[in-house]
Amino acid sequence: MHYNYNSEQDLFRDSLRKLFKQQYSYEFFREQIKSKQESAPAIWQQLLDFGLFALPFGSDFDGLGDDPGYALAAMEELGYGRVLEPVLATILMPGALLNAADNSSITNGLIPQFMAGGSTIAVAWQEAAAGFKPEEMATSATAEGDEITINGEKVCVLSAPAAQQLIVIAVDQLQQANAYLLDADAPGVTLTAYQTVDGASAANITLQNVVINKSAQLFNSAPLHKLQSVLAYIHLALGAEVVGMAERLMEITAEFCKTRFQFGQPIAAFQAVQHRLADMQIATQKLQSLFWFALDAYAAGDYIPVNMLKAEIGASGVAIGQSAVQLHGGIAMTDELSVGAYLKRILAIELTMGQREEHLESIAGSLSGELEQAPA
Amino acid sequence: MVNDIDLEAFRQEVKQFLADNARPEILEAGRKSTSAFAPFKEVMAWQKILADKGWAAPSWPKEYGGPGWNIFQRYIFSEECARARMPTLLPQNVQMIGPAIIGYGTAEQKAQYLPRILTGEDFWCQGYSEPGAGSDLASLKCKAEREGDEFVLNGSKTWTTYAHHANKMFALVRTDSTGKLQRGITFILLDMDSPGLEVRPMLGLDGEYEQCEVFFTDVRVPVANVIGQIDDGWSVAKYLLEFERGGSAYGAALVPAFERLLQVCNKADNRGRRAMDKPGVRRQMSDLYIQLRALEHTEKAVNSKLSHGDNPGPTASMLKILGTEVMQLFSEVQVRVAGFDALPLQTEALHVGSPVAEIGSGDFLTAMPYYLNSRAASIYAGTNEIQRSLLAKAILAQ
Repeated sequence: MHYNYNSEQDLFRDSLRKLFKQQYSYEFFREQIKSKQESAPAIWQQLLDFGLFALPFGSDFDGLGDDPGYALAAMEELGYGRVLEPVLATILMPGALLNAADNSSITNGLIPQFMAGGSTIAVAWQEAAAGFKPEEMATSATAEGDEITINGEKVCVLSAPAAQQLIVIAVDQLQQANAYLLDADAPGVTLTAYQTVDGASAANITLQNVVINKSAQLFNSAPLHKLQSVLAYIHLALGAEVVGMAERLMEITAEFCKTRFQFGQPIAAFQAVQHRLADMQIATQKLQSLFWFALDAYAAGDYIPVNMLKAEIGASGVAIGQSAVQLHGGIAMTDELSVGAYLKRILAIELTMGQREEHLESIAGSLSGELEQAPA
Repeated sequence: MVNDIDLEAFRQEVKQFLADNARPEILEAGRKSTSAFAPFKEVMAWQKILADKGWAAPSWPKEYGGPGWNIFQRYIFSEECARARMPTLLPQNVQMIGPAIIGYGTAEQKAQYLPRILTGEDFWCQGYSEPGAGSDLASLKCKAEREGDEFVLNGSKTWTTYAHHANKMFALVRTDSTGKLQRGITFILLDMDSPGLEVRPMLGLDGEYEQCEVFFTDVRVPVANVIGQIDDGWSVAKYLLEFERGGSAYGAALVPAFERLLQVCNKADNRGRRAMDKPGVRRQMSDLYIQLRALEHTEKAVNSKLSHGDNPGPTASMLKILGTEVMQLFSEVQVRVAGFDALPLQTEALHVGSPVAEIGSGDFLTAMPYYLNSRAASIYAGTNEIQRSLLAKAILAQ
């Protein structure tokens, strides 16, 4: 059990922090939002130069993904700098699914191509009613002969508008969840594109009688187990991003309280303000502690602590964002200050891949001996 | 660095020792503990057993009688003690006065006091708070006037836990009132049977005598009993307070307690219904579990950065807030789960060796007194309001 990144990961993190500090100001962020560009080519290219495509892949593909610490360190910095670049949506999510895939007819060709930046893939996972648990998806994959027909509706598919391919999570006739690769412009795929409140590019997707070849199924054995593992990886990545945001919000807010004068003194002199800052610090620490706990458990194949981290984002994470706004007062209600951008992102994460209440229920299921993870 | 296999072996060694040495009355005292302060006679007997084994002071440096464990071993030890429901050693000896003497005592003082602190031959109480000096501890007035080689004490102390059981006291007294409040305070050791010293126990919310008032009328104490410098006791007190706040592992005790509560929640009644089937209980237990794990790993993360004898500094304030508030949350969830079982007043049945039968399932005998007593957690060792101010000071100093 460790409570820090290793020294190599720390160096990687420092490089990213430096890059974002120098080139990703809040003004730059606002320009990106205004122009509805979640990715800036100059920044993206530098991220690729850092080797970000190596993050989700294991050593079989010369990747760094056997230790998730690198990907998580990157997510923490994206959070800290409030960077829009779609690393999670276009690298980590599809990458983790491909890395877990055991269908070599897909992976042999696609993974090298993907890692070289030659294919953009979005992951169509969540559904409005069914939520985020793979085994509960309503989207169906009906096999007949050599063909599979996909039907369903996916929501908030991040980076879908620019994607060439989609990986869709769906259940087959036996209610077995799996993941399917298809072209984003395949007949029957309809996108409603939009910008999310936190500045991401996304789409709701209707899949109507989309026919694919049977070889487009990612998982042959233990599909649910693999999907749950990828899901835990995504939750961890979101957790790392929130940890980074919490750390930055603490700094911004403490600095503001020292320099904002009211009643002839810095507002940091007021005990009510001090105690709110202390609570923000405690909330930040809780998220950090749960993050390391979840990472350790994830490596051992236990995902309940990951649920705990995700659930706590909905309490401590949201509280940190709200307190930052409260302590800044009116100025935080404007777009001119970055604090609101952090709050929006934290809220978006709370609403993504299962809200606090859903994760609490998963934890309760585990505590009461009802819920078990899918066998490997 | 101890690897995982060694830690597992260590855990087994601890479990075995506890199983071999847990006498029935000691276990009963553990089961009937309703606060941080276990029944006196039994917990001191347990301390003696641990001292004989060399395990009474896990956090002390080896040269003074610590076992030389790393932080993970210490945590495992606390956890297994809690899991076996051993009474928790009274903190005054090993967690408070011990570190103060190790940090500030002379070689003679160390040789004189430390062995008896370990065995429990001496039991110490803490003379800090006064009727007029609680959170504002530096405003304390209990006066010590120098007469030759002695100080003459006059005044009073309060919230002196277990003073009625103690034969020794470490106290903060005012030796100079001319300068800044924090100056002129002296940290001094004294005997509880000193002429002129009087103890008055107070009945607590939970029906037990834990807290006392102590009155001093011309109590004579040798100047040689001062720890640190005369007039500079505040440094010793601050050092000790940070140990008091940060030193204990709340999570290590609460996680096994949670496991026991969960077991009760998962137990079906004669109609097959479990507390864990109720949505409200499921939600409270899940949230509590998250808070417990967050606490546990915060303690481990902070402690893993400290080596033996290091002072945790301002982080101690965070650990104190988090530890006590999660403990209070636990006490609240437990009393809600207990429901009607928490209502019978069972002061008699709670005494070790009591012939009075317990009312109810027996799962919740301590739930209500523990809940009531836990209210003190956010008050003692510097209120959580004081801790939040200290924590904010550290945040704003960056």
